[in-house]
Amino acid sequence: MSPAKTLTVALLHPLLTVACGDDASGLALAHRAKRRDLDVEVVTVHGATPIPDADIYLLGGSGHAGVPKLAEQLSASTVFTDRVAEGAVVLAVDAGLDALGRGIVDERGRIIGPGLGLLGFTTKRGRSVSEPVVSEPVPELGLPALGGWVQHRVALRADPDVEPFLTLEVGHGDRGQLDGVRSGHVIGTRLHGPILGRNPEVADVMLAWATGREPQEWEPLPPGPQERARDLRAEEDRAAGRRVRDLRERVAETRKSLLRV
Amino acid sequence: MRESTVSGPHVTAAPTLRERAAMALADTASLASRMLGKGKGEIIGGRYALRVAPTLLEKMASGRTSVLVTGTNGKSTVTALVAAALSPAGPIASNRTGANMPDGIVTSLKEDRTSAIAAIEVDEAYLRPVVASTHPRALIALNLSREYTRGVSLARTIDHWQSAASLLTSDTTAIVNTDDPWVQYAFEKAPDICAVAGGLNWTADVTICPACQTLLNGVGEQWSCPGCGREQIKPVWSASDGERVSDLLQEVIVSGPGHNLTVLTSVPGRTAAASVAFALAAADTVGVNLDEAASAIESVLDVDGRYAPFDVDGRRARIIMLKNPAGWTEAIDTALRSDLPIVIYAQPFGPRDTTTIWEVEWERLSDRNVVVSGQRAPDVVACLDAHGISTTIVEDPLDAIRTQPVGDVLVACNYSGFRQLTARLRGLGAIA
Repeated sequence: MSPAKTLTVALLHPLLTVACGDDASGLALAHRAKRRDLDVEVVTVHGATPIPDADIYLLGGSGHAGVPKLAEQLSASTVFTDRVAEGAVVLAVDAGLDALGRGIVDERGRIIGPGLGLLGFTTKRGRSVSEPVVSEPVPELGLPALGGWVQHRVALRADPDVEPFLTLEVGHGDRGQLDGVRSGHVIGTRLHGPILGRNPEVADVMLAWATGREPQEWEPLPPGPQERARDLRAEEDRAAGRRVRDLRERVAETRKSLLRV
Repeated sequence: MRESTVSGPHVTAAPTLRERAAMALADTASLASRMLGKGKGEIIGGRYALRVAPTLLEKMASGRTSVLVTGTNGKSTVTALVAAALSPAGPIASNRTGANMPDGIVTSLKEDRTSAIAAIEVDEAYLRPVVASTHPRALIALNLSREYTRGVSLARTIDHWQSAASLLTSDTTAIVNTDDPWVQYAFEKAPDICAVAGGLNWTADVTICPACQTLLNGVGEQWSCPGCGREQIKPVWSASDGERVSDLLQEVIVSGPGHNLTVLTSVPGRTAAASVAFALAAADTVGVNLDEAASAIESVLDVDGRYAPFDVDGRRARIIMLKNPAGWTEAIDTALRSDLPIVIYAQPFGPRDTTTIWEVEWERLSDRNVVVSGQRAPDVVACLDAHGISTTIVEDPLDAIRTQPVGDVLVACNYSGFRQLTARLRGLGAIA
């Protein structure tokens, strides 16, 4: 490869969607880039500052009230949508993901908070979740089981051709056990953590796409503290998940045996 | 500080039969909780009492001059300083244990019905019901920053504070940190505002205008909004650091309307000066002689086991509890400013327990090796490594402290780490 140019990472409006650690994904991406011998510059966009031409966009947070405002900012110019069409990489977490859909809908399916309309889904009210999650691996992206936490009460109503990003082993997704959306170079997920801080392999996928590679082309790196911490935590969360399942099963059995009596 | 006495005539109005029943139930529930070894029992007792008699908090606050203290960071410290600053005027009722939701507050007030003055720490998400019940003489709003222990967004807290502010009459002075644009915004409609330059340690959350989302000018100095024209209310109280008298004592210089006071405090960190200013502003509002208030403040050495150092084989360790990025930033400041070694102790408390530390500028400690302890040490190490900081894990927190040279050590704990470490040290008799 020729000496790589500096990648621009734009962190978009973290305050509008109440980023909860998600803005640290910029730092985590820069850290991983260094291990891949890539130069990264992270810029944060607030308020009326125009969205820059960037190679990677990061957006997200847990504040769903900010979704329409974020969608409005993303569509204030065509820069964002043009760049996405040209193959720029996007990581959209939780409220950031909802801003990329058609919008937030009420019980009757009417849009009450319009989104950007980039992806084929709407967001409706779902069950309230606040828990740790562990995903299944995603072999085609070279991803191991990922870890993070979710906190929301939304569900996706997605078009049939909309692919999820993850299937969860522990915790609840936004479409049953499915989490988020993957479309081209756009990754949408409910996982906070920050996701790139706890799961550097996702940063690898994004850095691969941003430099015209396939994720599998990266030399595997020896696991660092991030991978070790994530794996330890995943073990803990799996064990806790098993305890909850066992308890539920025992309650169900007891109920059945009581009914028989 | 004069200790509150439980004897003497009650200042609160006589409780109704129902309220008396609720109080008896609370005592029973608290006793049961203590006997089962479930803690001090003030929360569970208060919860049952308020369920039986929702009017009990109002009754227990009646007849008193109350000062409320709310915010994300520093509530316990400022409440302790306020209690001290008001003590020249008589005995003070206060929720010193830090149980700061209505159930904990009602228990504290119920246990001391003779003190005519109350200094009450209030959880930022319960401000409205406590304002409605206590009709405070003053309300101190310190700061706002994100934290994820409960997952409440800043926007929701602002809404809640605005609705609390709408209950205020001119009988209440809102003592507001106007350095923080979001705090000022929440209280801008309060009829009587006393502006304090309370500092802004964590600017990341408040760079846009809460009213119109425009990027603010001059955040951290004299802020203003080019979008809607809002600007900082000029503070009438301000404070700065004076001389550092010893390892433990810092001089702070506070100026208010007609006053310039120099106060010694053992409260650490750069928020110390502002905390003293808030306490003196409250004392001034209530009408306490400020020289007496200042000397009473100097007697505060320890807040809930936080500031008094404990000895570990010659290391004088100060334990601090950090719940959000603003708190961690403050800890880094203190470590850098006083050139103290820092040991981190992080224990589990839910899925978000190590998220906040990711947002802190650990880079500022770049030339140090940080010793990390606790079950969440791997997560802390992962975060610090991503920030370019080298670390060593030592399993036991006391052993972690022993790795440091003899002298002062800052022990930065997350919420559960703090609880567990202070409980252990109390068990060992190392702290009161």
